[in-house]
Amino acid sequence: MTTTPTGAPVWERTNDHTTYGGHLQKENYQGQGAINAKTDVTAQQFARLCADVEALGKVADFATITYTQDDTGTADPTVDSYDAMAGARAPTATRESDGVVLLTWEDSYEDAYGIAGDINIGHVHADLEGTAAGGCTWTRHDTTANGSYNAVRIRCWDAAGAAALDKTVTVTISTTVG
Amino acid sequence: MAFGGFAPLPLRLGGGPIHGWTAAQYAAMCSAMVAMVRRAKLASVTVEQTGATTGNLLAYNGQNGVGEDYAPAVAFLATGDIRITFDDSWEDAYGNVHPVNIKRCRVSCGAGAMRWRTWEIESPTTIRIRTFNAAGVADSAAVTVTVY
Repeated sequence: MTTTPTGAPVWERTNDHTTYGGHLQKENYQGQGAINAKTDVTAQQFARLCADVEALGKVADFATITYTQDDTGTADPTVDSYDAMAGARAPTATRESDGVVLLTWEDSYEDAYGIAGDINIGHVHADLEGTAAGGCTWTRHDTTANGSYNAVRIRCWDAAGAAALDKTVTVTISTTVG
Repeated sequence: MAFGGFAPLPLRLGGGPIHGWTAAQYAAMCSAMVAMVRRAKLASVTVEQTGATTGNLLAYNGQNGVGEDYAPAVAFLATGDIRITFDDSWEDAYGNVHPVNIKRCRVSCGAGAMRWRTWEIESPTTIRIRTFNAAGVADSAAVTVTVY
């Protein structure tokens, strides 16, 4: 039988220290602290763990993707690497026009215990790889009209403000509360 | 393997995969936690500028909390010129106070046209963001700002 964890997958950003078993008054049984520091974890140490997990869970990025555009071939970009809280299920990467790619994530993903957590993109960073001046801009989109952002459109520019072609781009997104 | 028959804390490391928590598993968790804490961001803030001195907070994720109630003060000083000011410290759920001392920043622009951007640490709690169009002229944009 699979254990159902408390709370929601961390990328929903709704967990707090109590999700992990923390409690402001949690104490060692009968006030007895660790008998052996090599084998025992005290209530105080457990409280620190819960507070730190809560803090990390609020700010950790959901995903980072690196892709390479194929504007010359007018084809969808190649995903070079992808890391995410929800594992290796990369977003759909679609070339829309020169220098423009739409990255579309699913509305929700399951955690290691099979619990679904919704996606709502709050923050985006996008940067060009290469040696020439240029940059990226982003816009967020709700392609499934469910009230949460599940996609980002990345535009790549050269130094003159024209579309930058065939670039390799790294995009990091962070989810936020729905 | 608990301290007593029904005493959950202190936890005694050991036991099997269903009812226990081994020293090796605990060590792995501690190692992972230290690694993540060492490079964790303080916060990400996403705002949009709607006029020379107006704008909106779009999203906030910080170690202190998620959402508008926890967000720093955002001042839209002029077109393409935004100041973000955090409190001197934040307090976790257990009352531990964590000073804010910003050392690094990362900025990306949300716009339909080219934008350049720069960041400046004005004080340990204040970041100033400037955004420009392709010609280098101050111009507004949405920005995601991540501070460490």
